[in-house]
Amino acid sequence: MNISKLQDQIGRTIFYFVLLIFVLISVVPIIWIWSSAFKPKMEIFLNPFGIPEKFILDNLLHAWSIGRMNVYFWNSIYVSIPTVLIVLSVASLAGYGFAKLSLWGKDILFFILLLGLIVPFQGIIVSLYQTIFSLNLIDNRWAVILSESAWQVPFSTFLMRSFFRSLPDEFMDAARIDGCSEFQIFRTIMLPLAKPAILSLVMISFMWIWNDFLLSLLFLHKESLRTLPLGLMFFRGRYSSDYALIAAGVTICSAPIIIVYVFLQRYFEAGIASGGIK
Amino acid sequence: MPYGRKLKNYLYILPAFALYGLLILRSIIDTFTLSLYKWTGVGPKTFVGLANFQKLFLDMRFWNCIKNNMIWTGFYMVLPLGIGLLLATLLAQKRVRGRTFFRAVYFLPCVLSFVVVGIVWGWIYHPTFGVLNAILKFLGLGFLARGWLGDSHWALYCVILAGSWTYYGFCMVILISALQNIEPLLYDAVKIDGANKLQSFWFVTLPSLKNVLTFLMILSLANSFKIFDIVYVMTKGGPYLSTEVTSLYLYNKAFSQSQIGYASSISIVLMGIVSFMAINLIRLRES
Repeated sequence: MNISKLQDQIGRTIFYFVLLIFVLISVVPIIWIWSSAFKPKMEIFLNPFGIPEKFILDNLLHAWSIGRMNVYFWNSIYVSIPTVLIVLSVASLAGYGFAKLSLWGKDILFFILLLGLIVPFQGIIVSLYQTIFSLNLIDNRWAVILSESAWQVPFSTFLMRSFFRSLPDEFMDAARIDGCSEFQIFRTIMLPLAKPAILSLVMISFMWIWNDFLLSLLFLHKESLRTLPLGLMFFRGRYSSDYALIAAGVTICSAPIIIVYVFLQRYFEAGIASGGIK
Repeated sequence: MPYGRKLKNYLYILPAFALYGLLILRSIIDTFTLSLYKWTGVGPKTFVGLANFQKLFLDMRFWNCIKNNMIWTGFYMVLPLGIGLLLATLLAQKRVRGRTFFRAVYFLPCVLSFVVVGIVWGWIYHPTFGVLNAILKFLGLGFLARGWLGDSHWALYCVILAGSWTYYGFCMVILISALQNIEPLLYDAVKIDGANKLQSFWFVTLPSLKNVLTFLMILSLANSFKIFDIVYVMTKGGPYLSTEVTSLYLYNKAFSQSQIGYASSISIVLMGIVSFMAINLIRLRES
């Protein structure tokens, strides 16, 4: 009896030890660079792994204003909000259409849309650039907003379609008897019911656009238009020897998405698990 | 149903198709056309037939990229997937305190931008104050310390490791939702037969996860061929092309060397490889 209890104890210790090791692997790199952002320049070399002896905000302030991270931050916001709104409206309409409405050639249309899930984005950048160029949108935020939205359409429509399919048709029939128009049914009955799916979609869509690098690299050549990831990359080149400042840049770039994640974590996971394809 | 109302239904999918058709679908088709031309991006295009593909077939730099993508694939199918499986199984046990906390923490690296990941891991591999060299010195293995990303033998593996860091949490989330679908009676059944935890993992968990694991493997394969950002940020393909991957090569061909036609032919091959994987993936999902 006692031996088996001891065995159980040892088993549980190993169990939590393994879990803890991976907690460290997952967060220590981030904590390390975040804490470096609060250290004076020299301390990064003298005391690279410890917590800061004295917290200073100079690096963050310096990166924010002189390093122009404030400009990049707002650029990221200006690109992210329209993208999320466009994806959300376009995908809930299309997802509802594919799930609940009768359309001639629905299967073929849906298959054409799914093609976008298959093709790797890197494979189309050359011709996408030509299209954006011919639309005269180089160095225009809309190049990134529209391309990213278009790219997210297949996945997000897929996500919304699966959700709407899980809602029973009886809701719609009841509303029809009450004299609702078709669009009213969508707008006032079905859309509010889709709130969990919408939140998941908003989270994932926001994460993708916030972290986008390639599209900004392709289309935004003007320094004043750079988004955070793109700005951060050039920032690293410019201040290559000032590690405290780079750490501050990384902190500014990663803090917003981590804060959003910490508060709305379950919607991220729900979306990832239900989509699973990207 | 009246004809007019049916036509109205198309209005729901119209915005999606307008956006998708104009930018994505058109680009896919254009890539096929462009791959048949020699073009610098300005001026007239010269039709060359399949000459770009011929040239590509003999291009050693291209094959080097494919090789690097294959190495990437090999690691992605084993390392993050294995860790994801380990963590998912551990968290699926009964009586785990702080389950939600652990799950949230493991997924955290997945929400970060690759630029952030690239810089963070660049620090880990840093020759003078990097953690990796510090750990090696601490273990008495100081002779192994080096500038990891500047070493053409190690750079690729270092970048892959950084990529894997952002990927095991994803595998874990997918596997957790699959584990929740396993019939608990199966575990009870083997328990009655006297199976221990390891045996029940081997005889119940693994076979039940077969489909999801295959799904994740093919997904890892496809994702390994989509790698771009992290390599661009960490090494730009260097040193001596040792970390160059296909998408980076086509980016350089198109946007540094203005060989639009040639870059398009690389795109076609890339699309071919990934589509092939993805179609198998979807087939598997349907079954």
